[in-house]
Amino acid sequence: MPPKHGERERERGKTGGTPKRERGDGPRDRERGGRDRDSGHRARSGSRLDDTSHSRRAPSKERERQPSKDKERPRMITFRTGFRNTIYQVLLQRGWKETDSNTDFDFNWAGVEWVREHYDHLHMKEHQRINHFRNHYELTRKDNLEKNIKQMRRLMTKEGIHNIDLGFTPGTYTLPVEYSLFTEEYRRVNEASAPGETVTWIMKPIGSAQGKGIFLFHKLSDVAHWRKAKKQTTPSREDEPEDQVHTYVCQRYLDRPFLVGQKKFDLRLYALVTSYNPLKVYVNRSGFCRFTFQRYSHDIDNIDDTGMHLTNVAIQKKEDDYDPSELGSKWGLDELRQYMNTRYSRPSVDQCYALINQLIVRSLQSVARVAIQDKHCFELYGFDVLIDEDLKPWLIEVNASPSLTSDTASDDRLKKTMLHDMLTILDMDGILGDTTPTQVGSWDLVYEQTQPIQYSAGHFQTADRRMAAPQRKKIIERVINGGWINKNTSYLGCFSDRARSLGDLQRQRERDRAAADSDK
Amino acid sequence: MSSHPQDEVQSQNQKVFTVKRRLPSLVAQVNLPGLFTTDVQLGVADKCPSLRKQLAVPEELADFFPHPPHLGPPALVDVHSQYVSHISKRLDRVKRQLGLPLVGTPEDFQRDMLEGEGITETFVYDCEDLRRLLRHVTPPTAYAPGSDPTVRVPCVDTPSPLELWVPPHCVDPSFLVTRFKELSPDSRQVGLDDTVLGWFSEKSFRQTRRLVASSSRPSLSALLDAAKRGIPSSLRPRVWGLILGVSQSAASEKHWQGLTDKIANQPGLVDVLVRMDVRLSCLDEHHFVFETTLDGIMCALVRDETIRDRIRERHSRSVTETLDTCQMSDQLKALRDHPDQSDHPWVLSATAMGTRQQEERPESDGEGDGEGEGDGEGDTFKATRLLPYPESGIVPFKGIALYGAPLCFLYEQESACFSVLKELYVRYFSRLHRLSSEYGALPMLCGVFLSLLKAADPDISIYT
Repeated sequence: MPPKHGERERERGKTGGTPKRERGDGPRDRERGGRDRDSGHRARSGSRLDDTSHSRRAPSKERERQPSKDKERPRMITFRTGFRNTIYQVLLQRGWKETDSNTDFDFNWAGVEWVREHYDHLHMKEHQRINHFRNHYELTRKDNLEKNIKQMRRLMTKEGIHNIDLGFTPGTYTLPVEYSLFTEEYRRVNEASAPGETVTWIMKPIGSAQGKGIFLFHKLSDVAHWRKAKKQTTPSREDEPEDQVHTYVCQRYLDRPFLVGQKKFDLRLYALVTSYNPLKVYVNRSGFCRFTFQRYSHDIDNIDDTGMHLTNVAIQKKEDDYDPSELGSKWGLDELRQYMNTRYSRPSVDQCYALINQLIVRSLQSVARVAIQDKHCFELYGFDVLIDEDLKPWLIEVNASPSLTSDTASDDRLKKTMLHDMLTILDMDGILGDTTPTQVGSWDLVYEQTQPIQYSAGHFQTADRRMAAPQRKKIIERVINGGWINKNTSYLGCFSDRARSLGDLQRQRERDRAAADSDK
Repeated sequence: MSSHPQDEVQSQNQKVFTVKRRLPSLVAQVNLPGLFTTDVQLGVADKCPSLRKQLAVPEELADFFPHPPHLGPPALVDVHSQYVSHISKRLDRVKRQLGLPLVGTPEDFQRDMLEGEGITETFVYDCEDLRRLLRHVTPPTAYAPGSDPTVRVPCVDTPSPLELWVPPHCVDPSFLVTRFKELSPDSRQVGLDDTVLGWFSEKSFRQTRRLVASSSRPSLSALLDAAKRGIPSSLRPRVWGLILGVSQSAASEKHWQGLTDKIANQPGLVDVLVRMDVRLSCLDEHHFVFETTLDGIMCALVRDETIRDRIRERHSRSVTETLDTCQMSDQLKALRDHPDQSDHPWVLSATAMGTRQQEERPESDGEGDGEGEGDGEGDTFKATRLLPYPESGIVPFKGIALYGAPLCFLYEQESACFSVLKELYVRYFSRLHRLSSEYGALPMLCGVFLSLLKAADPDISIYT
């Protein structure tokens, strides 16, 4: 077991490396109210490498090497959050201190309502971090996501780029705005389908969560009747326009899902975006499969049975037999990958998971053009993906506030691991520095653009419009595809080997520090 | 049991159950063959000619027992009678609590058993019961202390009887290291190293795929050697099917369909016990998805009458049917002579069924004759066809569903899953439920385990 970080630092001090300036004695420190002389030697909670070693503050020598950064960095990392679930426990486990202040925090894990209310009035310092981008709804609202993907598709077509796969969402129509377009598509699909085959559609209200208000239909008359009725009965939210609550998206229902034990499921994956421009995306190796309790049936008589078709945990919790403490309705992604390996060839399964990675990155790229980039912001997204029986993944929706409440012990372990490694990536205490490792614990870096892109009215201005089309196309392709770490390999569901990964980071850091010391 | 060939038994079973609808007073004999052994029959059937039989060593155990001595008939008679008594009482208790017949109509089994409150009887026997039975198993004479001065008892002064079932060389570390060299920590194993080392995962996958694709019929020895180091999960279903000689065919599909129809049309108490065990043992976070599949394959396993014959053929190669006839005739006589005895579950079910349906007059007496007795069947209630209960000879025990659960990960089709489970049970798992002096049966397996524990840590003998 390598010595703890604090111990090594204390030893170094003892053997004669005398710091030039004692921490807590400078003028700025006096402004802050003096130094607690015991704080430098206070033991941090936890001693395991994979949880809390990175939470220790940078030693004084490192602060001297980066004086400008150190002056801004507080001594004790403070966090602000309104949540009391897993994220709260993780932040406390890292030894950070809670604060109620709406402005004086180092790390803010806020809800979307708080961000909507306070973000525009917030002037954040360089070191502060907040867990949402200002306009995350460009990705998380179903109609906005579809709009952005369509625009990206149009742009790619216009530039003559056809090898970017953006067909990972089923055809989506926002009602009532696109009702006529939907009607045309409905008729076209019905004419193209085989006789006797019933095409099913799904209606989802905008801005709702946990499966509320979702229903299936296959007759056009069902929608018209329902839409008219809901306009009069559904109460509207106070802070949204009156027509907001009536807006729905209508999609082609995926009625041939990949089944396990003849049960339908969907995947919940976690993606971390630390920057939209340049785009930097991490994807977690762990995830969940959320199963229905009932066996799936294509029979249209079951169209009203939400327990069979919707995998949201809130819907499944209403089922009579639900008891998560005993049964559990979730599988880990590793089990699913192993199960799929026994059914299909390895290359097919690997390709399916690689397509899932690509789906995540392409959807984020579609939104990157309109996202408000802010270096203080990062976001943890929950991607809901459905796999059909041909092993093609489809994006169902993206959540900006994925549930961090745990039902079972394994659930709890997975989420805590994910959040701890996420905080390691965010590097509040400068451990990683300028390095960007491709694996941090259970997170893998899947896409990183090196240069920011100049967007103008949503278009790529990086490629000059006066250029010839082939040259322009080449530049844009490089912009779109140049950030892949490994496009055709996905580590989703693979063993994360966190101890080795975090140990490597620790050792690399010590080597860097030793090299810097020897340079002196 | 019945001495008729399999197809005849099956056709008679069908005839029996067809007639049963008109003659519900037919009795399903609780034969309790779950732990039947050849040696017990040797002990019980004193009147039958004694069998001088060298128990053949199975091929896979040949290197453990190169020169097997004649073990002699151990005293398993008491054990068997205790087992029969225990199982009878438990079955009786289960029947009373659930209020179900041993075999009935679908209407009898409509309600979900687990919904009832206060249900405590959910299995017929468990490992605790087996442990109590094993205490009464005396060792074979060959390995008893003093029987052979050259035999070295490999443990402390007072070995437990089970350890004396084990030839000494079986716990010799040098022998074990040589015999199981594929488990050496220096060599990599699929299932362990491939989750961490990507290159090993790729390498093992390529090697196994090459082996399987090399010819239309890869050699069994090569497959077994590969299986010792682990088969990658994507190729496991196919390789296991090749090793076990299981392939999907129209006949196996038809057999599966026949079993599911039988379970649906003629449900039994054992089906309920199996389903209860699935819910209690198998619905963890890994297997909850396969609940319905497990229900189907485990009920089919317990109700498949061909399993008895397969096990008997494999493990008891020279048993003659006369022993069964002698045994059955005793029980048949007991049933006929004392129909009012209430301590036998089969009599209980007979009387219950008889009183319920006495107004129905049977129209046919085509049930055949009893074994060796030639009883004339009339149109009154009589036990005419003695059938094993359950048909496969597998009495549902606690945790039986765990045998099938891992296979649900490998095989999607229930018929394929069932075929592989059946083969695995017949070849290997059945040994865990046989109190016999056969090589590889339960006493010897327990003895090996105990001896290895004591060799690793002699202090354990305090607790054994």
